[in-house]
Amino acid sequence: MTGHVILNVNVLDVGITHDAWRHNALDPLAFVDIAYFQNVGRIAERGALDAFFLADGPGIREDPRYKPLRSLEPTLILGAVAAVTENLGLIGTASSTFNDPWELAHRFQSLDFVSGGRVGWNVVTTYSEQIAGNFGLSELPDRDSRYRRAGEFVDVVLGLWRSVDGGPAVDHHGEYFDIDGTLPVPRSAQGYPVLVQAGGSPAGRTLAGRKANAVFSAELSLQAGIDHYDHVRSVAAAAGRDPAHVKILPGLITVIGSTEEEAHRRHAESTAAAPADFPVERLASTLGVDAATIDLDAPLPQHVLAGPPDPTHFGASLGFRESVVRLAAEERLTARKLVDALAGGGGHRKIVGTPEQVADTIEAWYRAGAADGFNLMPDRFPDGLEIFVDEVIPLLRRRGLFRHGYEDRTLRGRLGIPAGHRTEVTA
Amino acid sequence: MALLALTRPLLGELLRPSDPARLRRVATLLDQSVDAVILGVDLVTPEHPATPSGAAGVAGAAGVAGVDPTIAAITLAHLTTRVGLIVTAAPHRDHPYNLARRLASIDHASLGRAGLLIATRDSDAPAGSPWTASEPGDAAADAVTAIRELLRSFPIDAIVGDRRSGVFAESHHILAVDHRGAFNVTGPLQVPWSPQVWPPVLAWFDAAGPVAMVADVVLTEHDSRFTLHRPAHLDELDELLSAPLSAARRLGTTLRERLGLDPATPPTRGRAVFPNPAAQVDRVSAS
Repeated sequence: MTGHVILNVNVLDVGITHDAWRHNALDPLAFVDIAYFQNVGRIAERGALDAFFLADGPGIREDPRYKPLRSLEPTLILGAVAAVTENLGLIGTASSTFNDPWELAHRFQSLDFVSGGRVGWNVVTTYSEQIAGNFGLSELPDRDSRYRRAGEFVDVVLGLWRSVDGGPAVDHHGEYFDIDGTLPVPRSAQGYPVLVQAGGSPAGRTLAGRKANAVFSAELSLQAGIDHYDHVRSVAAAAGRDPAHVKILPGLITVIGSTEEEAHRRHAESTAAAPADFPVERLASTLGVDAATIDLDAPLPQHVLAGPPDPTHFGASLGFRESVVRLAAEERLTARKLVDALAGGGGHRKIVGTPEQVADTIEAWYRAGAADGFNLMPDRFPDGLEIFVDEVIPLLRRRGLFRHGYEDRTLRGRLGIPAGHRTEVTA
Repeated sequence: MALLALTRPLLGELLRPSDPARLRRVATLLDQSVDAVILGVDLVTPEHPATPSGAAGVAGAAGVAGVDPTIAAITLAHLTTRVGLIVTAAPHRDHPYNLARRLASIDHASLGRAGLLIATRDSDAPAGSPWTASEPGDAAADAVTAIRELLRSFPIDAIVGDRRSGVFAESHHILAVDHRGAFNVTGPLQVPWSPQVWPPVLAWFDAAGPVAMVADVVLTEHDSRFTLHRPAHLDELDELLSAPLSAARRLGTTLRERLGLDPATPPTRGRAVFPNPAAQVDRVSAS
């Protein structure tokens, strides 16, 4: 654990709840308005949050009929946010399946240089079939080959970044890439970007433990959080790394009210407004089953709890699936209760309550060794983030869990993670 | 019109985070003195060294280091209000889907000032393409076609944001691209129409035939419409911008207007990606 909780805000267009856009005063086009994202960035910096995080996939994953979508390209949103902030970290998601490692390394290093060393790259392998067609692939490569490619991709990118920071030239000739040379981009104030990994499949966790500086995970129960925390850190130790150099940051959906009643009313508003089939469709797609086979008033059937029949070709996220199934089994939830617990989300934990209750759960997970911090997912922007910054942050500070301002200007400095090639053995 | 062409290493010097005041000053002058700035011109002029010896280049392990043109563009978009921002890109490593998405993002962020100078390959990058086996000139030309298809696929009018009914987008107006060529791209693009819809595509003087064929504007030696300025280092840039460039016309707000191009009128027909629930109801009630 670091001396304080790490807090990133995951800016999922205008909020994680499907109906966030119906309850704010924003223009419906806010999701393509760079000034909107800059405003969210300013709020995050006001609270001295560690980083502004953007999830992403290069394509439309689900029909935008009922909610906004990921649209503008993350490194460019982050570039615009960098222009109006001074210390806030900037973490962008980019797929190792649908990018070229040289181009990605060049662009992220450029952003890191321009922003004064505040950038992180969140590597995902992307699990959407819809996206594959945008890149000339009639079907998504299976999970094993995606992760083999991801491992090689990350090696090349890290090698190129290290080459701008005094490391040797890259000379890589592998299954997927032939890349050599040094990256012609200046060294940034932190050397090069921080590596973040998202995805909770076994291969994802191994990749995280071996290479990543931080992990964006999806754990729904405290015990699952502790198990995952210990697992990733033991992989890091086995790879010859300092386990303290891998920060574990589970997602946390926040629905905050000044009273418990107000918070629950806010939550109920979203639940009531959901299109009838929407949350069940989401659950079915997370589990990888047909929505018509789900009986809302029964526990999940044994064959669903047992696991996907073919993990290699499972079409959705194994990590999210595992989290959801574990929660359903541990708490013996019916499908209806499970849908409610997930708040229409795909598998991140949710807290509905007062600022004190939110601070309590953050403190409990941190002290139990289940998290170094959280990737916060406010139900709605901007007010869901404003109340966190104005009401929860002061409580965390009073409890000695959060710093009062930015002590380090670079993201690496703040996370306590030195540039890799000097201190760490690569696998 | 006055065009200013900057190399990636020169952008690296200009965007160095230690001197934000200088960057703001230059940005103000760009708005006053230049019609459009080409970012990353060294992508199309590999025969010229990016930074002449003796100039104050940013020292990187690779010798001469610079920054990505699209990252430079988003920074300058924030600091300027008038100047056109033309990013140079080579689709041999930068896939047309990703490129189209970044171009649309810059056009949204700059309120219609984005453009693309299409290069066939980046001589700084390792050879070869991870995406296509086509010859680089053909691939670049095909990328332009695919990018235009993507940029027209998501009409912004589809976003209705009806808070009462809960319909955010009439998504049945979003079209597939189904492009086949050097690149196969299904689409649609996830970014709805940007202000210009089709940011102008430029080709450099010596562009390969297929690239010149698809460009909106081909720069040529004897074209009196354009005056091209190529400062070699920051001091020269300062000197150049110290007086308004006589050829700067500053006409129009979008880059298309400045280049004398008509507003884009993309076709709005094609294969719908998402169903129209209202049409389904009609069919059921009619049967």
